[in-house]
Amino acid sequence: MRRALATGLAVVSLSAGPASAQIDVPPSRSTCGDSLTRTAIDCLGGGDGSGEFGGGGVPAGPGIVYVPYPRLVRGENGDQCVETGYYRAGSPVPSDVAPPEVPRADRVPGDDPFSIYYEEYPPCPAREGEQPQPRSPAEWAARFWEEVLLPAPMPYIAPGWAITGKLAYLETRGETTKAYRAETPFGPLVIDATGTYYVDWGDGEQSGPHSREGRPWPEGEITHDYVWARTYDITVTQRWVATWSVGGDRGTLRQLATSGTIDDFPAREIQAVVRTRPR
Amino acid sequence: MFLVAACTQEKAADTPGATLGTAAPTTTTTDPYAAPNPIDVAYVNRVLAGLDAVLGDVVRLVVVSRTIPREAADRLTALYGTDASLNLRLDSLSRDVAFRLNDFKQQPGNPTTIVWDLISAGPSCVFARVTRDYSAVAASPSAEPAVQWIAVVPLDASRDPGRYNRTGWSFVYDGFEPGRVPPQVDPCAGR
Repeated sequence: MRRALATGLAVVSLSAGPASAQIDVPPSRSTCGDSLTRTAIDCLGGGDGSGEFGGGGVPAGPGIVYVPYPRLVRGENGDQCVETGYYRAGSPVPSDVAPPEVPRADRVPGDDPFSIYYEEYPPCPAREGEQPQPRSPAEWAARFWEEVLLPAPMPYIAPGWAITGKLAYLETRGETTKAYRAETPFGPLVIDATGTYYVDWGDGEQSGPHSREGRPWPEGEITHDYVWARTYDITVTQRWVATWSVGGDRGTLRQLATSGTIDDFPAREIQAVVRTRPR
Repeated sequence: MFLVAACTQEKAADTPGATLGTAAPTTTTTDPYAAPNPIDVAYVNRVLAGLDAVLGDVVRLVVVSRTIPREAADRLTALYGTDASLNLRLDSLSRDVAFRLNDFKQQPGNPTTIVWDLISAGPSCVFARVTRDYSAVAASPSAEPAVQWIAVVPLDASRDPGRYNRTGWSFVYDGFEPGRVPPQVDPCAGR
């Protein structure tokens, strides 16, 4: 059995249509379970568990309409991600929810159930051989966010070593804001990202968040005082948060991170030697 | 702190030279989920109540946040021993969220699962026919108890790093086959 998708439309019709894309549906049903309010029955591989549709999978036929919804799943790598599920409009659950897909004239901007998940979870990767087909502005933004090349810090401490007991000034040499733009079927997408630095100084001490770039002496604000003369592995992590907007829709995207390191950074000890000149 | 205060008060009431108790009371804790031999209905009901409590916690997290926060997803992962059974529950909850949790109580309790028939029980797997009562979760009073089947196996600790599930068991089967009939193959077979 095959399920037809109408990309960019509010609903998915299972009636055959020449303009519809198609994806495979798992061929067999197995375990079913009641929803926690017993208002619906869900089955692995689709269907409503009533036995009404015989062989399993998603029932198809003229006039049967499916509405997409964001579905959290545990993927093969053990991480949770968001994919698109479909429920049969009108049955067995109420049909008073506006279809979440755009573009549609009667769509209410901001009424996008995908948004809430992408604040915390990534979209599921497309199955092998398939191209991802984002169903909503939020999904477009989330997929784009996973692919952007975020600036990474390139930390440096002049002049290449520190002196114990004296402040070392860390230069982050990155960017703290970045804007991305893309065209989508829903309109221009704008993502505004902001990065904040966190430093692991390698001696058990951490600092952050630092919202400003680290700069050299004397104006730098990201500093550290090493106690012992030895080498340290310093890691600078930049955590990125972002907001997106498409027309009247907007939302928040999950946090991503980039990092840079200084390996084997030496802290040296300087001893003052006082000599008295013989008279 | 309370015990210390109580002891102090008791001592103050004693007359000088009175003999105090010679031994502090000992406390023994028993693991309510330690499996008896043989495993009986009372034990399985106790485990199911523990699993229901985890599921109730998930529902409350979802109702309050209006989404499925990571903690709720992690608790569910601790509850289900296979990704297939986990994803079935996640799918159901996702759709509930998409429908704005209209059918949920504002302050939901725990679902209640009771053993109807213990089909097979051993230390590596328990298979039972149960009824599950959703009335503490559903806003609609028509959510009558439903017959279904469960199979639980010892919990894989790697699915519960947060130690949310203290029962030591997790579902590998939780539901029914289309037509609300039992699974054709015993989920405990071969375990």
